[in-house]
Amino acid sequence: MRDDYEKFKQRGAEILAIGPNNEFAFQQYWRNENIPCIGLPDPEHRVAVKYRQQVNLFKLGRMPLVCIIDKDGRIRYAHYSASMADIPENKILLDVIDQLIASSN
Amino acid sequence: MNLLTPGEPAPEFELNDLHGNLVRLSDFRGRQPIVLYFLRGFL
Repeated sequence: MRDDYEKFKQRGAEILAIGPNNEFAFQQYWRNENIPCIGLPDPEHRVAVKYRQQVNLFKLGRMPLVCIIDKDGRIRYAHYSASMADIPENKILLDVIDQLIASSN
Repeated sequence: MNLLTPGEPAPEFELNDLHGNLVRLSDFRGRQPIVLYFLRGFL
């Protein structure tokens, strides 16, 4: 994501990363990993629950979830991961955004 | 619990970013598409 961030920005998209860690852990991680996108700590899981982010079987944490939301506030893509490593490639996400741009022109 | 699917309105939310600024999903309405990454968490 860090490496492709500019490709999302060039398409006029913004990336919001929501996670269960607290603000301090977020700040440390963002700094250490030099992450360019907007980080939003959600330690009380309020937004995670709203978006039905799944908890894994052994309660070890939350499973990744990626959504793309169009300019009108509608979900256009949602990928609920089947495992911790199951994260869609950026190309798939960029293609969805390209389709959104094409359909709004 | 039903998962969210394409075509549905995205649930509104607000959270503070790492600079203490309040970020609302609706801030981006009419302006730009959003990729929402829900992380599994990091140690």
